[in-house]
Amino acid sequence: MTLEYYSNNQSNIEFDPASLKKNLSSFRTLFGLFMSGVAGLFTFMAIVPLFIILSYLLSKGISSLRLQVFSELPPPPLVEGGGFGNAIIGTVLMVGIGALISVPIGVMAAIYLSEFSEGKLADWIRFATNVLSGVPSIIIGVFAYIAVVLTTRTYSAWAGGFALAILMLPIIVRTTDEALKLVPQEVRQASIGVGANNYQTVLQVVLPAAIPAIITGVTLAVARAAGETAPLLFTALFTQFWPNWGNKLVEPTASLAVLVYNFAIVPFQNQQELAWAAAFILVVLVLLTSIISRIATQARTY
Amino acid sequence: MNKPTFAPEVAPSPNGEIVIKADNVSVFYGDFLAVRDVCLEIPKHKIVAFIGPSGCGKSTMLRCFNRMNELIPGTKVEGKITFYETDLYGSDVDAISVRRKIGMVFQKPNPFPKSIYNNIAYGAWVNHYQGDMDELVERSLRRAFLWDEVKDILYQSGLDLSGGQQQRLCIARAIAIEPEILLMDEPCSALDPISTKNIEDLMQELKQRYTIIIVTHNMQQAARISDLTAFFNVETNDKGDKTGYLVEYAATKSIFETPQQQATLDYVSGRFS
Ligand SMILES: Nc1ncnc2c1ncn2[C@@H]1O[C@H](COP(=O)(O)OP(=O)(O)OP(=O)(O)O)[C@@H](O)[C@H]1O
Ligand SMILES: [Mg+2]
Repeated sequence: MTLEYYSNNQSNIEFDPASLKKNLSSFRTLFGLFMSGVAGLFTFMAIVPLFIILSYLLSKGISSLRLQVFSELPPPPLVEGGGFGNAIIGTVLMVGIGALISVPIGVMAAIYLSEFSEGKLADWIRFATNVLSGVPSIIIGVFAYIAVVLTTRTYSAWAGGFALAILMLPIIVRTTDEALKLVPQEVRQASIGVGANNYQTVLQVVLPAAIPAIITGVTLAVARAAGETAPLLFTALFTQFWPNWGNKLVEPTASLAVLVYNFAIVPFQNQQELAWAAAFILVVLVLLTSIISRIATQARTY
Repeated sequence: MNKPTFAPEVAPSPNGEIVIKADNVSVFYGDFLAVRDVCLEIPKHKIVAFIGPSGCGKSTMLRCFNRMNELIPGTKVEGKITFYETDLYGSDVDAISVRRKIGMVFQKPNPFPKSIYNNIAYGAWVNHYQGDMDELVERSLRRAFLWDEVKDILYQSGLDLSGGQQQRLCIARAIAIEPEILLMDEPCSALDPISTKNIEDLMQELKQRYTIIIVTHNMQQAARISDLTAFFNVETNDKGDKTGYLVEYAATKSIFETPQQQATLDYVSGRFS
């Protein structure tokens, strides 16, 4: 029946073999080439800043980039040598505290949003997280200052971690929420279909499927937090000394970002050079996090 | 169209044991009446095919049998569905236990993002299976005729398999928890003819142990594999809402050769508008 239909119509079609040839001067071809060129150029422009920043940091910081920067303390003005080992530890510590607070809360919140809530309430929570992610980090710093520093009467790594957690929270909620929504509905049904309950479905099936995207989100949040200066100025302050572990982190704590901020604006050359080196290390740390998360998330999901 | 070949003749087994009985079942999505007044009985260890035009509520009916409809907010089931003697929608019945007894295979293959092994083991695990897991995995995969193809790659992701293999993995996953009934919603519609044949052969095997209800758009398939066929149709009311209903339910042979209703005849002979 269908065959007949085609053979009846065949006689009407005049086929011109030349119509298949590439026509390089046609407007469509030229326009396509032009647009590919423009898109390529803009892509190039988007990645250029990263390489400029990296090479600039490297050229400026290379002179003071010695192994000692990892193991020594920030030097006083005009004294050669020194490093920022305490600031590296402080940054890792505070970003770690921030992640420990914000990842569980953020992931749970996103699970609630995408799996268990419906309608208006979820929309409002999503809206609120968007607003939170738009709040300037300095205001988050002030908030943490009032909430933690004033109540505990001391600057501390905990206060810094708390401020960073607030900063990371909306990023984690949003990326996790998106990641969970990408997991096809059929997979949830399949899990329910073999007799799993909601909680098993989410923890055993939906969450693992979303893990790569969630890790990407966490990495983004970590990268963002590691570079933040303003919230730490109010909460962790800075110190020239190694952390005193006996104080259980309840003491002013150094960080790379604040070190860069402090040392970049002083007139002493040795400290300025250290600031460049610290900036370089900071960017490398962030880059490393991204690369590691890339490798960790190569498992295939949807 | 070729004349369909027929499955061996069976009567709707008046003396056979009835596994599922739908009594005046109507299903609503919110206020929208999707299917109305369905009465049918599913005999044990038979293959029952649901056929009918798109939108007539075949999937809707199928999902009622394992309470999958409850996942769609606003769904309401009226009437009574009994599984053996139990009212499936009784207030003391646990939906999760129902789904454990009445498994489902979906239209699109949907393996979990886990290894092949864990795809099978997951169902057993959530159901607190006590026996030997390796043995269960092997047995289920063998029954789904998949074992030979995957026995060396059990720890690779189920998503790495071909579409046909994935669908057989989903069947293996469904039978691993030893259900009474297998609900299959167009299980072959995403598959090539060879995978389809594999799955049809598989169903003939599975029939020895399980009762199977299959939704299909492929009339030859219904004729080939099923013992009984239920034909659903849609009617449009004056407000323009389309509601599905059961037109005719009988032995597959009589549905295709001597249908009692004009609509059935039109549909199975391809004269359906
Ligand atoms: N989740 C839903 N929400 C609202 N209405 C729905 C939903 N699912 C199905 N329906 C409606 O119920 C009716 C029956 O749908 P159903 O999916 O059961 O048809 P079907 O016979 O399986 O069709 P097909 O052969 O195309 O799969 C249709 O009118 C459909 O629009
Ligand atoms: Mg359907």
